[in-house]
Amino acid sequence: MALIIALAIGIAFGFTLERAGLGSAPKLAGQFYFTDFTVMKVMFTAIVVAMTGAFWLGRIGAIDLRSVFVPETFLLPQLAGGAIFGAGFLIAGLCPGTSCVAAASGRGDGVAVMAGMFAGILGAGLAFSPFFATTAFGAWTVPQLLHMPYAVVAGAIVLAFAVALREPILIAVALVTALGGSPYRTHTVEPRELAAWIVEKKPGLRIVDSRTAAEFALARIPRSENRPGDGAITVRAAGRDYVLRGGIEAWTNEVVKTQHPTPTTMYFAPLRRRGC
Amino acid sequence: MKPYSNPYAAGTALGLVLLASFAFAGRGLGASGAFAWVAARVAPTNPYFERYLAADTWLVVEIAGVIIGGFLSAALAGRLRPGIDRGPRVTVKTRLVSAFAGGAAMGIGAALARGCTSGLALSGGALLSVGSWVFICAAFAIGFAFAPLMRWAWR
Repeated sequence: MALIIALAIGIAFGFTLERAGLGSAPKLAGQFYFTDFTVMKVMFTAIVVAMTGAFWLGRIGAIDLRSVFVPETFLLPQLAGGAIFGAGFLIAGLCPGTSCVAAASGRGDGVAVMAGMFAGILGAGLAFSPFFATTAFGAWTVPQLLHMPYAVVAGAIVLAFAVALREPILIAVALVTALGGSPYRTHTVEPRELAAWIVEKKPGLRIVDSRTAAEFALARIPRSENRPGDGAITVRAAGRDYVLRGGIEAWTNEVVKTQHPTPTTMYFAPLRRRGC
Repeated sequence: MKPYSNPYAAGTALGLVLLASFAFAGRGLGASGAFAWVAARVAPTNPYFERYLAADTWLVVEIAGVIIGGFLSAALAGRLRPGIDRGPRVTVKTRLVSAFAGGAAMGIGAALARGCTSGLALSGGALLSVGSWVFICAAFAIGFAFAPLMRWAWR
């Protein structure tokens, strides 16, 4: 089933690239001489459509945006790789995807680019050096970099696109998106459930308390770490993120100082003396 | 031969294809990864190839689809034509050599960056990956900066 989807998506991908004329090297190269901006128009339109679409599908809960694979950031290798790639793009007039389309529509130069691509990847792979893995930041997004909400960053990109195109409808889309809220599905965890996870030492459990250091010193959940931020207590367990419902107050009232103790809450009873 | 589609219409269609990939496959589109997948199967294993050795066949099947899709679209539009696309002042031989050389440079760049215009720029760009936007800026900056040096090939 996954492979049928892969094939269908690939066919649609190749079809749209060819429809746009991106199987023709002189047409692609035209962008570098300011005569044909098809590549940029197609690429940035696609980025804006997919970005906005992914945001809203995540927002309404149709997809779990966190489970979509985000290409990892390796800052210096990507800067250097991007530069070398850009030079290759200029010389070849085709990029890897479009070279396949050029080849499929009968162009020998597309086949030559594909052969070169293979040789380049093989050579670079054989010459693997530790530089490839330097400055690794994992799945790092622009909203995280700028400490801004996802919606605002997405809205700003749509706005830039709207202004470039002088398209009022897109300006409205930008504004609505910027005020759209979080695209991530938030799961909440009950204080007592979290208590049970701590007691049973659930694998991969990570509790991040983003209140201030002073608040953290006053009352804290065992095994939690303090990273001052927006004040929420977030829990990561089994690859999923949760927000602790009710924060530290709920934790204190329903676990530590509960009127209805259970074996699990009893585990945390010694904390009462510390006042949390 | 039919004229090409409006680039914004094609871009919207491409964006919807990418969105479908996010929704149904949980990942974006790709191209260079398929080349790396094949390379990993002929090269001695090392930390770079290991990743692709362990990867599933999704990317390779997807690229096979790209070739089929490109062929279908070209055939339906009457653009299926054997030949060598090149600038007005270059010979077929020069074009093929530079196509191979440019492809090789893109291969090296894609290996370093772990992706190309499809997987890193397009897919990662839409997911707001920092590395993707660094790659996009670096690639276009160098392309435009060195364009005068390649004028003989395209103008």
